[in-house]
Amino acid sequence: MSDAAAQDHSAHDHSKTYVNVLLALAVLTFVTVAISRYHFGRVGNIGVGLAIATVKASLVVMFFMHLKYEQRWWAGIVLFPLLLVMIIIGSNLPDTALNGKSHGGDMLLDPEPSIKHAGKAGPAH
Amino acid sequence: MEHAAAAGHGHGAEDHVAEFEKARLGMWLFLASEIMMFGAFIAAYVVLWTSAPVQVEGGPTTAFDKHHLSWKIACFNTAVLILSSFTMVKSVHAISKGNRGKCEDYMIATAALGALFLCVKGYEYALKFGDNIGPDTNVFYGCYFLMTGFHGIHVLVGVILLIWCAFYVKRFDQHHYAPVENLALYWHFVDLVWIFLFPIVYLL
Repeated sequence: MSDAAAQDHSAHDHSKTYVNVLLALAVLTFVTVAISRYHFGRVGNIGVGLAIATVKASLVVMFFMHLKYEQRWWAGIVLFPLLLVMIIIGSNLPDTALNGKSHGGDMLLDPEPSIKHAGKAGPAH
Repeated sequence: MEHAAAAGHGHGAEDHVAEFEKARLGMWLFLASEIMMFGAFIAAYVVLWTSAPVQVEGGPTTAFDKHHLSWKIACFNTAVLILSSFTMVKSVHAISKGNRGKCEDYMIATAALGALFLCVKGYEYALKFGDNIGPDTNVFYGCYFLMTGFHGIHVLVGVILLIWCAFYVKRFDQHHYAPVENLALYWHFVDLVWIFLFPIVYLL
């Protein structure tokens, strides 16, 4: 971080911030579990679950890991590999979750597996 | 960050701050590689998961049948790890103020919470093996044991490093505590991974 930012940051006592983040993480964990009891559809549940997890992760990264007080470009060290992971997942979706579109099924609701290997407990094909 | 208070203290303080920054930057780069590793696991899981048929209540067992999982045990472990992240950041805060005693106390508390996480995870594994569920049961459990197993190994390494760091805490002061800071970054990363594994594996 820059000297100016460092001096500004070091002048504060972060104890209260840490307690607030802890409480926020506890509440968000409770919300994650509570919301998973409801059914918003497969896409809805996945979206809400991952959105809350992302908020929790951001709180940990920004405040517990102090990224908020580091040089801004350091955020790229975290975001770039995350972007690559998103590309890996996203590039496979047309062949997996989205393949129901090709024969009129709903996204992520197609009951037909596109990979027909399923271990011991999988459907017999 | 608190460690920047070192600036302006004595001869070579600026060099010291620069060294401290380099150490943290190196740790962040290491964590970037860890993001890629766990990201690859999660990507593989998502691909297999979204390819599998939806498990219907009372329907035939699918490759992603996970009825034996206990979200309550995982939720307890989530609370343990979140609390351990708090004690870890308090440990860094304490040493940044020059308080070695509190730093050591919080570090030991973090290690104890990490050990508790591992014990609960071991109990969960024992329940699975007791029900004849292993990595070869189905696709889901293959992914489950891979992801939670690798995460568990990271927790174990973190606990060992925490005990080592607590043992040598007298070597650190408010101007020299890069190992504590970097260990904290590692520990928070372990917490981060679990923050995503918990909903993906247990709830969704």
